[in-house]
Amino acid sequence: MIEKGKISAFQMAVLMYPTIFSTAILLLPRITGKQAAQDLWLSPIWASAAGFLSVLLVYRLHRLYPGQTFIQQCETILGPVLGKLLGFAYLFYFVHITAIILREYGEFVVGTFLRLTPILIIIALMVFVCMAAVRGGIEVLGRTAELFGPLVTLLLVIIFLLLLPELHPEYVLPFMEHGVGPSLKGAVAPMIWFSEFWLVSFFFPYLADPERGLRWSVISVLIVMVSMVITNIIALMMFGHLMQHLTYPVMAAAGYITVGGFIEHLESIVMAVWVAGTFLKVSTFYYAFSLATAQWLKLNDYRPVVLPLGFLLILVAFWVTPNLIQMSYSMATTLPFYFLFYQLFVPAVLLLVAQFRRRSHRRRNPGRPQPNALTDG
Amino acid sequence: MNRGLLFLLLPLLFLSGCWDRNEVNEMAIVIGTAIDYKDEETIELSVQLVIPKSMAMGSQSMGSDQGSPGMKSTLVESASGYTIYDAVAKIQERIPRRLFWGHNRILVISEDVAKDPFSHHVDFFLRHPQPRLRTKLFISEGQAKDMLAVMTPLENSSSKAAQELSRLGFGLRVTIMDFLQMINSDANSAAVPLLKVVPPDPEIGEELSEHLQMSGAAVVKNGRMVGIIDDETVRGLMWILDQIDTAEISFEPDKAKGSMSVQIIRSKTRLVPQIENGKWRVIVSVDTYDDIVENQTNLDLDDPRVIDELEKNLEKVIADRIQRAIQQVQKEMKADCFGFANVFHRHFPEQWRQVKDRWETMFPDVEIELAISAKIKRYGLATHSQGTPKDEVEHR
Repeated sequence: MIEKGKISAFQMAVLMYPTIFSTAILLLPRITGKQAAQDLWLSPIWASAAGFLSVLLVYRLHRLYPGQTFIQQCETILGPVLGKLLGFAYLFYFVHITAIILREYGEFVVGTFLRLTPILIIIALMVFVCMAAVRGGIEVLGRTAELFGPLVTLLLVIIFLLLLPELHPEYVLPFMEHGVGPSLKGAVAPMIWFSEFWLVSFFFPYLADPERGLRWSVISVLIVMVSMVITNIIALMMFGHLMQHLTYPVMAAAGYITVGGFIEHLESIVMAVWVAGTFLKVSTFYYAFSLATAQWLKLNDYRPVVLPLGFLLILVAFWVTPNLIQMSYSMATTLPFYFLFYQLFVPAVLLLVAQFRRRSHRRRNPGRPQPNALTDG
Repeated sequence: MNRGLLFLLLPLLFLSGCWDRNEVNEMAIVIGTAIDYKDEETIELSVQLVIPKSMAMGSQSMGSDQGSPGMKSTLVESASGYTIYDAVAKIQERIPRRLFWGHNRILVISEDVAKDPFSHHVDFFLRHPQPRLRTKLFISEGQAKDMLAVMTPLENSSSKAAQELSRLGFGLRVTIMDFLQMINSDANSAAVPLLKVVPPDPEIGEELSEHLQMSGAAVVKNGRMVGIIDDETVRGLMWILDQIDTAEISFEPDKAKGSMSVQIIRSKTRLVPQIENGKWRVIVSVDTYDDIVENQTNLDLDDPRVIDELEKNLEKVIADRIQRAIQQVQKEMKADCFGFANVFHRHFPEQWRQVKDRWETMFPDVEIELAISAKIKRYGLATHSQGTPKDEVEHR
């Protein structure tokens, strides 16, 4: 077995929460607000459909071929040639998305706090730390998530509570001024984040309690949706029209808090929360990437690949985009389609093909057992 | 194990933070900023810097060390440039430490600068990561940098004094964020408190130095100052904006001799927009709870009917103050500092869209109806006035 560890479904859910949400908290208000204006808090509700759908697709594939991750399922379903090609495409996707995440993280840290530090240092350090976590295995990831995840949530809740006196609920009006269209348009970008839930495909085979896998994944999607709605609403009620002029509204909001003239400058808490969350996010993607690579190459351990992939990620983080403006632009325009293709569309097609093959196999060979993970390998 | 150790130790090499290291004794902490005009094209930026040693000593020996030269706790430096950051660079040439904006408390803009469109000067405070959105904004009577140079008696810097004046809530409280919100909203108008220097009064004594006073406000429309309103009008404006926190009202009740003061404990203003038969109206609904703190009349405060009368009097006083603000700001200056545009947009988006280009002409015609409810809750620790003998107390 390539990965001998096991995690519980709860740990997987706790791992997925910061994985999805930690980048969202910074960029979400701006990206959704651009399209939806004061209806931006509805966008995550619409977009969560992509999350539920991803989870469902991955779960169905898992039921058909348990013990296999998505990369392996590609080969099982599409055959050796096509499956391997598709797997390879996915390795490229992994490099691309993980590098984008690293770059986002680096740009934020350098842009707001450590402006003079070379971004290479920031990105490389994050990769090194995640390398250690990924080499530790899935159990290490799960336990780290159990430790950091609730901490992240708690700090965020504290910040939101402290912001309550500064909120203007009337900024939510006029509700649906131009109908439901704007909030739907704003929902396109968050679907990238929600469909990242397909990553659970790499965790389902290693669950200690697989029968609870679906339930906890769905709960995780729900909690991410609620968190996004709260983030957007807080940004809206705090800044109103000004929100569209701010790059990182949540940071600005945290910086505005003052309690008794004493507790101030809380953006450092947002920063800490964000770094912890990004660490988990990068680790999860990095882990899935290493696992996928090792499985694609049919290695019997994924650990040797971790180091070289790490360096590759650092490199690609630089190649991904020349500057922050281009990255934001692509995230708002092309990237949703690109990522949704890999995270939602292809799994759906794969599932359909799998169903189709089973049906035709059953028709052709009544009574013979289905090909599955154990017989086909 | 060895490789794992290497991974853990490698990042430690970078923990010393060589690039963005900010040592406290290498920073020049800016606590106040002022913008004046140098000539037509350049602005003059003044920053108030903390002198750390003097600040520490000054706060300990407060009261005994006023006005002695050489013990100043702050330093004001100025330079001119085409933009704020241009001026910052020129100031930096003279200061051996790096300017640090994280503690900047106030931004004062001189009235000359404010008479032209000036909100682009505020861009720096929003965009650069160091300055804070909570910085209080003022417009100064006269040169803005004079505000920074004032040595105030109670606080160790004029910036702190100005910030506390703003916080006390007797005048408008406007932070950079509030200002930008008002400018970016549909109303496109704002009111910014005025700051001025009060010279020492020679009759009182030479010990007192000059101090800062927040009095009145500047009305900003379309990005520039179009007029000034005085203290009384500002009070009326604050009633409409729901900015009244703790405040005092002194008034002379009808049908009684003498004056009475109440302290407002709580107050809430709601703006309710209405459009009826093409007539646009806003109901300003004020709810306030007060305590009587001073009674110089001959009224008997134990009598509930007296209290009812007083409440009505109080309501009239508040209404008068609001009317004063309405008269000056709405009718004369035609600036929507009240935020009515936003209120209408929120509740009547369709109608708002039709008129939003004409709002400047429509705004002065918006009818304002006042619905004020003042409740007097308590009368403090004494009953009838100490100035009135017992048999002259009036009952109802």
